[in-house]
Amino acid sequence: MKRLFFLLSIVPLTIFSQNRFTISGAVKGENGEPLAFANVLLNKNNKYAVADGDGKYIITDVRKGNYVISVSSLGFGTLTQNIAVSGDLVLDFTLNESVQNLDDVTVIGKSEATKISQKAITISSLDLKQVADLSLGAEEVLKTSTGVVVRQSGGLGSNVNINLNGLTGQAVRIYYDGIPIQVYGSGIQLNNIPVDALERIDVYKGVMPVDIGTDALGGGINLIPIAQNDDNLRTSYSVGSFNTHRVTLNGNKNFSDKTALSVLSFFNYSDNDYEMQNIPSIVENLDENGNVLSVSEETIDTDRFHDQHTSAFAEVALRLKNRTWADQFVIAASYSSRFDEIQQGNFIISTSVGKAEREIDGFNQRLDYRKKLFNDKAELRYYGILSNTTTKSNDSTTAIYNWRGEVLRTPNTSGSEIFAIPTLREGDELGTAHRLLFNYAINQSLDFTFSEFYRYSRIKGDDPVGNRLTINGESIDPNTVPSKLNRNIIGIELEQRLFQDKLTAIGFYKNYMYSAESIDILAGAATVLPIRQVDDDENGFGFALKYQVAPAVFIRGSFERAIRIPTETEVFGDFGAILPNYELRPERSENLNVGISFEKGFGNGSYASLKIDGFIRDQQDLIRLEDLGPENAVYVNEAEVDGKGVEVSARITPIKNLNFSGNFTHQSNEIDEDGTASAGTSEGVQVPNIPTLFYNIGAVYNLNNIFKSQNNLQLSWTYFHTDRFSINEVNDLDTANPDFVIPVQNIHNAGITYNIPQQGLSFSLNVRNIFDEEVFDNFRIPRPGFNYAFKINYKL
Amino acid sequence: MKVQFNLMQLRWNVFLSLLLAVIFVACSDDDDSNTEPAGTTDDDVTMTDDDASMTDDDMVEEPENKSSGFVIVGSTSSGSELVKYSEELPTGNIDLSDGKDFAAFFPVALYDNALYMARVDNSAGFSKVVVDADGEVVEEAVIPTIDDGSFQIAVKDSETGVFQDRATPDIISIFNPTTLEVTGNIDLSAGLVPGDIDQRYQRFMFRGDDVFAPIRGNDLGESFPTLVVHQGNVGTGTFVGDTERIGNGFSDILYFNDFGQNVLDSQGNLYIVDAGNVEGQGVPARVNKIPAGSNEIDPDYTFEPAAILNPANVFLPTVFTFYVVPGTDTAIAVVNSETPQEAIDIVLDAGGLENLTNEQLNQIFNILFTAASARWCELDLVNQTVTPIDGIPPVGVFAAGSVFTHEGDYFIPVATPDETAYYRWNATTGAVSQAFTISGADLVGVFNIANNN
Repeated sequence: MKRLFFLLSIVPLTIFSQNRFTISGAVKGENGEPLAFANVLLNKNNKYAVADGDGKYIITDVRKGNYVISVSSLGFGTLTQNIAVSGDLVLDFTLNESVQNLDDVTVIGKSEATKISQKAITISSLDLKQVADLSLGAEEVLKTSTGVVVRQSGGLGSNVNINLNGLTGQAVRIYYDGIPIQVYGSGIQLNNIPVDALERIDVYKGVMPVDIGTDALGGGINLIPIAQNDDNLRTSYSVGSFNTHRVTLNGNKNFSDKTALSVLSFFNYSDNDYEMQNIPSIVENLDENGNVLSVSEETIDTDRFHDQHTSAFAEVALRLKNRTWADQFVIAASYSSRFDEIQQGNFIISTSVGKAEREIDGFNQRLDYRKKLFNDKAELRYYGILSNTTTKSNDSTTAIYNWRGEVLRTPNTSGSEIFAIPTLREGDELGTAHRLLFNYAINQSLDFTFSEFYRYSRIKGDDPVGNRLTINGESIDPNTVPSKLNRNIIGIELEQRLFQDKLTAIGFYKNYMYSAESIDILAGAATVLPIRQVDDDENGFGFALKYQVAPAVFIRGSFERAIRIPTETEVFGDFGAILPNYELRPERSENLNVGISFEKGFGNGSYASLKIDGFIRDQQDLIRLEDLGPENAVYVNEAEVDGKGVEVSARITPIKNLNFSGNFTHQSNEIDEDGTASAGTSEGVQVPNIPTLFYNIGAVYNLNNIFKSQNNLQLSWTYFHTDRFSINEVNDLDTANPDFVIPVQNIHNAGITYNIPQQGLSFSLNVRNIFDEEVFDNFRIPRPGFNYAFKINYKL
Repeated sequence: MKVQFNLMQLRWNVFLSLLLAVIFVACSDDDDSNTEPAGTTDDDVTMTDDDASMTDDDMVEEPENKSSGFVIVGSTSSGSELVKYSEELPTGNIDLSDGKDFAAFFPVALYDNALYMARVDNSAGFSKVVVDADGEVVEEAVIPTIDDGSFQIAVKDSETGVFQDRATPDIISIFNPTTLEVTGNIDLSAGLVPGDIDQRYQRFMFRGDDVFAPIRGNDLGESFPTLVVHQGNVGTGTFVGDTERIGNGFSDILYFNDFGQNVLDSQGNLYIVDAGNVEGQGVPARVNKIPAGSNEIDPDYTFEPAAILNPANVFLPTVFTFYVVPGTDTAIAVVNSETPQEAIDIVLDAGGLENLTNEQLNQIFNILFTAASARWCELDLVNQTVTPIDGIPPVGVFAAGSVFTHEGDYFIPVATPDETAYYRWNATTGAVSQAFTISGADLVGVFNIANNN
């Protein structure tokens, strides 16, 4: 790990260093009025700028060369001009008022996130460029999206649970660049990716397009890594509370217009030793002989002491471009490593975990091939990945710890802290995933998409101290018997645009096939190694409609009959109390979204957008754990849940450089059929432990030319509110047992960023939970109080 | 720690009470009216700004907890529990959906109107739960443990109870149920444990100062081919011995925990009922007897109710929820009686027991564990006879609920997909009627807090 950190620190910056120039100037209308928010765009390297309130713009880091510069503004015609850059340029532009009606002008320069958010399928796309200078993790940005609840069991790197429109766990899939993130072998996860490493986060709510979707029941979250097209090198370092350090290093070098080499890497370290308040901690009471007579509990404020997290990821990619056989061919190799100490189980009890830890190392290789065909009418993309991951779990100790970090006199007779018995399991997973995408424009208004996704994984390991099965008198470590999983998902999609593209209609079909193979743990009396295989074949479909009512207003609706394939544990059990159920069916959900969007610029920099979306989820065959006999349990298909909700997202820019944003979610997830022995007892009751109302409000204020010309200062503030909810199943929160109600939580975060574009430098300071509120996450696990992070970014 | 806090609070209350008594004596015109009620707490005392004006009316006595009534408990589909209190014997239907919610609520002992169980917030330890004067079910105090899987606690009388912290497999602790103070430990490490692994105690059964405790493996709940029972003495705090019921030598014999202390007959004989083998290996559940005056399981007493009720029931000849009717030689229990036709069909389709595949065996046990194939029966412990109680519908052999008594009648739980109810049974007349039904949650049990265990 130290070597990797050292490697990240000494990557020869000089190979990326070269002359960069600045293009700056002002944009005004024919009457000389400055055109705020005019878009100035270069045709290469994704360089663009948006004019400030005075119509001034600046594009930095422009390499020597020839470009086409385009300038546009709402209500004005677009101006394009060839320019040659060999030094700093000052270019002023005057735009003519468009002869078109203002409402007909197409606004150009929309970010990719904006474009995606305006698709027929309901997607919330979070553009991370806006927050790239801040010291944030991807999971923290995700909290600002409507409909998303992010919970963690500790600090940096701790387990993350995503609740999307009320669905959680396996129902919500996480993707990295369109591939299920598990394929990358746990080395990279939502909880350790810094915002600098990502371009944006796309949140798919309920309906998944065929080019992304696998078997997600309630939607998915796609983490898009930063695009690396132009020559650049960007590095950052942040230091913050709880001895937290984060380093990123990303860069790209174009050796010609056909060959490029890029690197994407990050490193995280944190002690996560934040203070928790009112924690029960065990105390041993001794008799006169010094023996433990009894134990008691004290309630203390204490620092977490065994929650260290270290993770690193580095990928090197060779990109071949503009070849006769490929528009782009990327071959990449990456290495990831993470180490986590474990501080507690699922919730806080009076003893802590002081020894258990987990280490994961992964090596991945991937290919990404893209080629346009048939005069650019078609595009073919193949994406394949091969990963080898080693996971080492160590839960083996003779000690018991209290929350003061003290070892008790009472020995740990079970020999473990998390699991029922000790484990020193080392598991090797071979994983591979392949996605083939083919888009074809049948005509100008009709597109066809075909997607084929295949995934295979094979897990094998050993545990020298773990559980054993006896087969034909021989003791077998079940970990040594490989588990295999095959999934194949085919999708086809047609997109039709009508009425001058005002109406977009999408229809799609998906076929899910899977098979899994594992040892049959119930076959204790078997004389040969009992291997069990299950397979299934399911179909899903959906459609989406979007109608552009006016240039600033569209309405949309989408529907999907989604499928979630059972996990291996759900089918094969856990080699312990949970028994297999080979007849388990996939979960199903019919997801409906409807929404309306308004977005308009009002001149003089004023801007407003308002999006209102509603959703309905009819979830069937939900898999729940049911007791079987007095001591065992089995997963069964019985529960049904009806979900519904409304989400409101607003952005307002009332005056120059000041932006407000708000995201509001109110949702309900009622148990429709509980599948219990006395069926119907829970009907109409809210699914517990899910917030029903939450919102966040943010404000950003930009000050230009602070201390020095072109240097900017950005101030930001965000307020998060989560209404109370119970972790128990209750009819009425007002009469619920207050001991199990998570109280209202209010969190205020703030940030300040000073940007020196001429030197490629920026400094930021984030302060989270400013008022040091007592906040909780899953099962009342305390989250950090007041904390901060300082970050420096440097860009060549 | 709540126990410590309560003890400190008690001392503080005594001090306050004495102080107030002094003030009261000093301020009162009536020298005979200063007797302090026992058990007064902080809340009992209402102080005014003008202490000098304090009179008898200013002394507010703390309302006492309920000493009678019924606590009704059910589980939600999400795994939490809903609890209601009824001052009178429930009638009609009890809807638990608006009951008080707890993360867990599984009583294993009842004494002096208090319920004892693993902690109601899923923390490590045990809760003492009472019904306060307002009829609210509240956790009064706790006994913390190190291991959050500790689950077995039992009460002998107002002064003595035992529990096990599973962090110390060889030791059981003696406590005072009134104060929840731990007064001592019994080291049972000398007891027999097959395989020499750590044990957990499935239940504690008292006979005088002797406590008998069947064992299973601590970490994974391992069972053994014999039923092993350890014995300690709460008076001396010492290990007494062990005894075992021998099986067929290779099939595991299970023991499931049960509610309460109804294990002694009119002669003082102690009955420990195992579940037999529940994996179809042909070892029926047995009522084991430790005769009065003996510490050993009587090898000649081989009462196997399921085998008697239906000798053809070879798959799951088990017994659950055993309850000796106090002062008699009769017990009530759920005895598995039938093999569901659905399971028989699987055997026939396979061409016989010997041809069953693992999957078919799994299917059969899924059916056996969930089908309403068992009967509530009256067991004659002397003559070793089994008589189904007419009028009580068949139940699943592992169906939830515990028996309670009221006005001399027995209230027997019936939880099936068709109904969740308690049936009233008069052992003398044999009369059976449905007493009340329960909705809004899956039945855990109903507890008459006026009755000890």
